[in-house]
Amino acid sequence: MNLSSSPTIRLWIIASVEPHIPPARAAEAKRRAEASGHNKSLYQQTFGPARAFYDAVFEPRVYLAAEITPKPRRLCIDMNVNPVVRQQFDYVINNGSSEHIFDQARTYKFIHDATRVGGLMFHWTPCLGYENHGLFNAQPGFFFDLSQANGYDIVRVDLIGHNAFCALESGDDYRRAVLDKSALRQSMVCAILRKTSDSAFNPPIQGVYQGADATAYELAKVPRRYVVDGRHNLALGRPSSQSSTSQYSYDGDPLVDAAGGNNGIVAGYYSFHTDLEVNPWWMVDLGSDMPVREVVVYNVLSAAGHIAGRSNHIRLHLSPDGVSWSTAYARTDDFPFGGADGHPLRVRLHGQTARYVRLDLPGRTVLHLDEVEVY
Amino acid sequence: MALNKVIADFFARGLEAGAILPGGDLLEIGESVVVAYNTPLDHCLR
Repeated sequence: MNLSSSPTIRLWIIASVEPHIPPARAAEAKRRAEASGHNKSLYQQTFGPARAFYDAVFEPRVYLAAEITPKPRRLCIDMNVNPVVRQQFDYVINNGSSEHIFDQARTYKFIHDATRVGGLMFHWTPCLGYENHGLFNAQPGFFFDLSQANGYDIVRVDLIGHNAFCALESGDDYRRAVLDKSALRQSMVCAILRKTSDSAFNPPIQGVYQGADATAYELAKVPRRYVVDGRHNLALGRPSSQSSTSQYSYDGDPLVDAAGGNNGIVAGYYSFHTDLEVNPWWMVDLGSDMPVREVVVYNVLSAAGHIAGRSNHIRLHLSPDGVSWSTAYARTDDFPFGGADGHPLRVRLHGQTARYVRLDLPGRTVLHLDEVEVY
Repeated sequence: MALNKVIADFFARGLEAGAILPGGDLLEIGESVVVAYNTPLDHCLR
């Protein structure tokens, strides 16, 4: 596209810039620029809201701007204090704003929630070489990881510097970009992403570990299951514990190791691991009495059948107080159940009320599972 | 940040790709301003 002749740029110049230059201001800017020997002061002039430009590009039916400070006809939002989405939009533009907001998770969740399915999210935010602008600079791979976690279609991701840009194929692609065009050593990352489903926002895990840490990379590719089939996983992120740890545990603290069992990641690996002991158990505190209609247990997937088979006779117990327990289910099959392969153990209940949900195994063995979901 | 030529170019590429259709609802997060067409990117910081 020849931008100097494009309708977009012509409209930008005509509609946004020229009418907004007060002659006296322009003359003063020119005078100062000449006095200082350069024209930096002229650059610092602003010519009014970008709305005229966006009107020309998008021809929107509805236009709304969100700002942290109250202004007439603006949506006043502080992203740090749990912003509420009251309506959705076809186009949401992150105008070099996210880097100024401390709570990145709420910011990108808000953008996700405010975008209609099929709608586009436009981001332009500093990336390379902006050492003291905003609170954060996005890494080149950030929007790839964000898209991976949320199933966004990537329309394009560009690294943009002054009079230079390069389309990125991946986060690591920035190396080629800055080698090819040194102007990109100071650049913004600009992304157009399409929301493809109404799934809840899923925070990304950095995918840079590809090659260096295959497990972390595999985890990054697995969307976490905050809402499954429209149901909220009551166990997700709740305090959990287990009877013991072992040399195979991820952490020596049973409270930390147990957290892998309800972190929303179903990957086929064990997420926690007890020691070899009599009746090993894992449990989660739902926080208050909740009606429990289904517990879904994801087993480890292992070529060695005896590893997955350790959980053949798993039992499910419910408790209102963590002291008195009732057994709601005891599996008797002698073959392993699945997990990330799409065949987890589904224990359907009748809405029994419980605050604590515990899984254990009879006899002397170890308990290691991939994930536990409670609905 | 302020909107200059290189950012305008980015949106133009979105238009060119056919991604932007007229008549949608638009939310701008952080109301931007327009600066001179050839303003260097590092002068767009605000």
